[in-house]
Amino acid sequence: MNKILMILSLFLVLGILGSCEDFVQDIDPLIDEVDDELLNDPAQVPFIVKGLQQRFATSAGRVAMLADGLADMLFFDQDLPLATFPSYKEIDEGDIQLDNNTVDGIYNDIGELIFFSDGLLERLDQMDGLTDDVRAEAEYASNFYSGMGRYFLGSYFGLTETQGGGPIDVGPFIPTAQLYAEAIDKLNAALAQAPDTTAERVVNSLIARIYLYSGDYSNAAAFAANGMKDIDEPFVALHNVEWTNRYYQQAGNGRVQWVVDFRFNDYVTADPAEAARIPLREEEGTSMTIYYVQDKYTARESSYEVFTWQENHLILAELAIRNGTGDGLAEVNAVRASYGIGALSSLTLEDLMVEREKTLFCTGNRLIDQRRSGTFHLPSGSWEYLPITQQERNINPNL
Amino acid sequence: MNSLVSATASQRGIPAWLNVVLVALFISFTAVQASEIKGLVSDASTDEPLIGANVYIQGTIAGGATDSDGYFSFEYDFEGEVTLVASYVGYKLYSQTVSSSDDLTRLSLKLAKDVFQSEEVVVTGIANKRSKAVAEVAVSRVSASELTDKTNYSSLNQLLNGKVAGVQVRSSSGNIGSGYRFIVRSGGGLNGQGQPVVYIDGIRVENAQMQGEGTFSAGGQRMSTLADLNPDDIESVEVLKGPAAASTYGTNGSNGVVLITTKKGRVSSDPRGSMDVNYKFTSGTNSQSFEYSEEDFVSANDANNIFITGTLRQHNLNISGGNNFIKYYTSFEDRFEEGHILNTWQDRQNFRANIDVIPHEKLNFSVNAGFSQSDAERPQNDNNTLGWLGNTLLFANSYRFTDSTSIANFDDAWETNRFLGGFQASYRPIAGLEARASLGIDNSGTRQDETRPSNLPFSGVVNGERVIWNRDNNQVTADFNVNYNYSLGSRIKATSIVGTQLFDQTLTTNNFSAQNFDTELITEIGAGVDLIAKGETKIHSKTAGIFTDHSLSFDETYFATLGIRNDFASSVGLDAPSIFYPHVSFAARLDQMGIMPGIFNLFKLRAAYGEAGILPEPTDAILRLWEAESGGHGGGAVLSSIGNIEIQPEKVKEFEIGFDTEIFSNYSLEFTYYLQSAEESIIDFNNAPSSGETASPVPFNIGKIEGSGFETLLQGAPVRTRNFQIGFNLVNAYQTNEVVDLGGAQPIFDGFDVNVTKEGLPNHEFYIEDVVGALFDTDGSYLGPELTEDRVALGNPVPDYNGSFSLNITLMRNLNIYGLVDWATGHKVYNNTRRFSVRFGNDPLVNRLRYQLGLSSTPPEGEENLAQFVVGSSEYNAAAVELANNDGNVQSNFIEDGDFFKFREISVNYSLRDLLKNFNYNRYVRDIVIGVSGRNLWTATKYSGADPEVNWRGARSLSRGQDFLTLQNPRSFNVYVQLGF
Repeated sequence: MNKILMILSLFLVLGILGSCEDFVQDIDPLIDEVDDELLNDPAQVPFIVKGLQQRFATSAGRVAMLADGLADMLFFDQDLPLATFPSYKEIDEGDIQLDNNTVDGIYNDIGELIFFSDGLLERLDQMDGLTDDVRAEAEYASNFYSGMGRYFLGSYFGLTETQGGGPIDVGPFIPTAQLYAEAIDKLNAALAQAPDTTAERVVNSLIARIYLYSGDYSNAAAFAANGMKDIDEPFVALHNVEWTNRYYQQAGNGRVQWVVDFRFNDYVTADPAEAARIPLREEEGTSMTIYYVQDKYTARESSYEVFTWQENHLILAELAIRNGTGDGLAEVNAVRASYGIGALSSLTLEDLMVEREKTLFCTGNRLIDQRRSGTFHLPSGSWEYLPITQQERNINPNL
Repeated sequence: MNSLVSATASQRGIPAWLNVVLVALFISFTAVQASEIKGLVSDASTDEPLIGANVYIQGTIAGGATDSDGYFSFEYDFEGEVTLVASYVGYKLYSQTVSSSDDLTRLSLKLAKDVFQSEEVVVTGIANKRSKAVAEVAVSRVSASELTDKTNYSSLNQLLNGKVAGVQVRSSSGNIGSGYRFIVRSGGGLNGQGQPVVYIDGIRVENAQMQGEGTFSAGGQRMSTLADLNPDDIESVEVLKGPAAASTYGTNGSNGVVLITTKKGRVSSDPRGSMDVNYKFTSGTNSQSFEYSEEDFVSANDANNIFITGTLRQHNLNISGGNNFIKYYTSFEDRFEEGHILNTWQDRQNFRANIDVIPHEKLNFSVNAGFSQSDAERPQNDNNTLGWLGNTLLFANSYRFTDSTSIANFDDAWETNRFLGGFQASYRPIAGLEARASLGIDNSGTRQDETRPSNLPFSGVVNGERVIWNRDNNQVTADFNVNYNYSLGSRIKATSIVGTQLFDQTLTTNNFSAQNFDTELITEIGAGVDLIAKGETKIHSKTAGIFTDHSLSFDETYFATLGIRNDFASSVGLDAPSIFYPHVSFAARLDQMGIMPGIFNLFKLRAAYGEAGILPEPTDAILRLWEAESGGHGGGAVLSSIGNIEIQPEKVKEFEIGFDTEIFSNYSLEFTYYLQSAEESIIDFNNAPSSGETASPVPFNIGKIEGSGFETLLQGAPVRTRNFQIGFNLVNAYQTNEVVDLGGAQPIFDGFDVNVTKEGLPNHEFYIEDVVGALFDTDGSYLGPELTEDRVALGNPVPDYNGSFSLNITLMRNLNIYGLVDWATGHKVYNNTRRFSVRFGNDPLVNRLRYQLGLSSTPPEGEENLAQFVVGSSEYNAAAVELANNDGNVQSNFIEDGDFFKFREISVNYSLRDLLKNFNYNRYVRDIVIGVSGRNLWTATKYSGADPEVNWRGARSLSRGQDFLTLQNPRSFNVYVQLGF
């Protein structure tokens, strides 16, 4: 009897053994995540493209705010009650540790932006039933954001304090000039598939900006000539209340860790009309000192200004001075007039740089202008770029 | 000829409904003429009657329990001889052969104290139970009910800490309901959270901590999912401390298994009725245990002023009873406890019903069900500008971030409802064969509801914010096993077990956050203008295992067990094989061989080897997962997780060897030495950021860690007389470990870059650049600290040694005094609170040094005449070195000795039992116990912070031993009165 029962029990347990694997694999699907392979579907292209736009949005304003902090536009002062991040202090002082976790975050995001963008092109090859329209939409987005990712990497990151650039896909270090060249190639590819003329003008302006920063004034002029016009709305990265504008969040109404250099208030004091392009509000420090906070991005969902027709005019103005062609003063005065500010009577390169810092207030361009004009304000040996992170240096064998 | 007798049921006042049940169940059994068996059960040393001892006829369910005078009485019909057995917790089993021709009405059964608890049946595997006297593995057993009778425990961690050799249980903060971490032996493997699996009455319960949503989740603290348990419901806790003993629990048993058994009904000890009723009322306080000094913080007074005297009140009612066929235990707890600062409290109600039914000698069922409802409030502290400590310890001028009214109005409310229910059945169709099946459910629902006041100056919360987070956890445990005892000849007894265990868990969460409420009068989340966050998760996971276990005993002297478990899990990669976990163990009773001196009542050598595992995370085996990130452009695909399709559980192996001995019947000593080795540890490789695949690290089975240690438990009862008894327990443990291999991965750091997992170092070692001196410029002015070129190992947050000593004294029969001290040595704590206080100018020493060195132009307040040193002078240089060693930018300056010695528990109680008996009031009240108890009464430590046991990042993080604005554990005092009816 007992032997029979033992044998029966053994069979029962062995039967369970056979079904154990099936039991554990029979689980409910995830609801908040999707397997990579399921995205190889033309119907998912808009979802993927929005992912590129989203990563662009989380990268663009964020790196711009840090660049303005490293530049002489914003500064960090612990006299402000909520200014507590040591990582911001390092950036402000240009004494940036390689494991600065604020830099980690934005560097990772830009890596994702490039990976997502380049990955979309590869994914298209695995899709069946892809229509030309969908392919064009995907290729435009892929090239555009891949180009912008390379531009961010080349403009804001460096291997050493003064050597700009960065690696892509665990490759060797790519200097800024080469990254800019790759960015231009990508943007040119996007240009060929731009969905409309407005998009074409935006891409042209962005290419012009990169040529300008590369010192290629001839090509810069060619693209700027076909860039944004005063009929164009600013090209922006969109935020919402959930994924907020970083200037608002850390240098504005959300929390004040960064404040604006006092000279910007001097500009407004000297000419109150400047408040239209340098919107400021006051913030009192613990010592009762009055500081000035950017009031350009006032809400969580404020869009970050990537490019405006005014910047295109300023590029044209600079190229007019540098190339000796065109009417730079007229371009600048058109920009000033758009803010209700009186005209200038003359224009030098130095004047233009002042116009740029006022017009491109809180857009992340000031750091690049300081570098290319040789006016970087921190002592020699300070970081003029955000450093390629310790994590990249540890893992990337090609660095 | 045996037959069942129910003769005394009605005489004992069993309720009518029970009689109906019994009649229905046993209608087929007919009572025949019965012999009355009566007698007294008492302590062999003190002659003290033992109340509630079970007396029964061996091999039957016939028997009874002793009453409040130690007497028992039951009827049993037999002819010839039977064995009468008496058992009582903490005493050795008593057996006596009696004959039907004897006078069975004046029996005297004297039970000997069981110092080693050798007669206690303990769990030695998932389906294996045996007495400690023959167990081949180290099993620790805590008699929880004895402890909860003496003192008040808020939660399981307080109950267990200091009671189990090789196991520490640390609360991560002084928050009421705070998460806690089990530190088991040398830590097991590298993966997971180093936590044991917890079972309550055979049901696997969730041992996790809940983060919730909101601002940094209150700075880092999490709530324990075990905070709603009522410690007063626990009868005993057994702890299997590693794979050598827990191998049959398979995957996730590598950090041991905690087996909690709740109280069960006993055959009534009261001849007047079938039920025992116990009511206990406790009132107490929680208060500040460490006072901040103005020598350490300029703002010390403000920090001290945040503390309050929190109150505790608790009602506990339990009713139990039964007879030989059905036993029941039911309890109700109502507990309200405030912490020692505002915004931390818990209001908890627990209901439990345990029913055991024995309808037949071959069959028994039991149902255990508990329901709890708890409301709690979590304070804002730790890495947080919204908390009490962050606003009073960082700056000389307090409440710089957030005003005190706003902090007080910050509401982080938690509500949890939990059902814990299980059904077990055991069937013994033939002698030696038993089939057991059980099904258990742990179902809990938690809601976190955070309300931030308006005008809170942080992250734009200017018009109020509401956060709602809901969490539902539903887990089911099913076990089935068959256990067969048989003989192989006259000298060898054998047991074979086959069984299976299934586990199914579904965890879902959802959350919403809204901001900008136009009126404070309406807080409904829909009234918020901006829905700033929303989300939902669902994780469904399963594990399944099948096991077999075979044990042999030779002459009750030599014992051996061999077994294996085969495990499957949904989180294991599809390309990974199923996992096998073998185990083998031996024991030899030297005292049975006649080679030990007579002073040894028991001397057992034992050795065991076992393997267990730690599962990967649920989605670790999926190559790439994408989620929708809903930004300004819409919901777009972003990478969320990167996995490895070949991922397997980490395999942890353990070998232990030790001995258990009992000397002079009064002392016992347990010693165990163990070696642990984890292979195929899952190391999370971070991809290079330029790859773009940084959404998560990628898991690989490439790591290895080794650990070792020993643990001892010395128990003694040197004096045992009727009026005076002394007993003590001395627990000691040592552990160490070393990360052997990370498979080429870079060292893994915690979020603050201080704890590291690095080859050649103990896991979680503090690993930072250290100060070697001060740097000066050419004119001798101080430039800053001089650091080591590389990081250096600065110690470990896990104590090398820990132990406890507890003393029980009974005076005049009824006055009981109990105390426990515990200690931990050989560990470090990162005082990040002081570091930030230094950086923000709140440290008097550093402020003074900075002024003396001319780095500050303002002398510290009250020291206006302080002299400044001349650059290059010896005083200047000495001050520079001291400042370098207190520089707030250097983390290593704040790694401190964390060794401590704590007077942890004390209780004094007096039983009026004899008094009531003398005045004959025991007809109305069986016993009244009045007592006082205290906790965390005194601490000796070199640590300069508030509490060396806390951790700002909760109880599961990579960050260990880090005090960062973390609430100290409170000092508690309670008074209680217990009535027994």
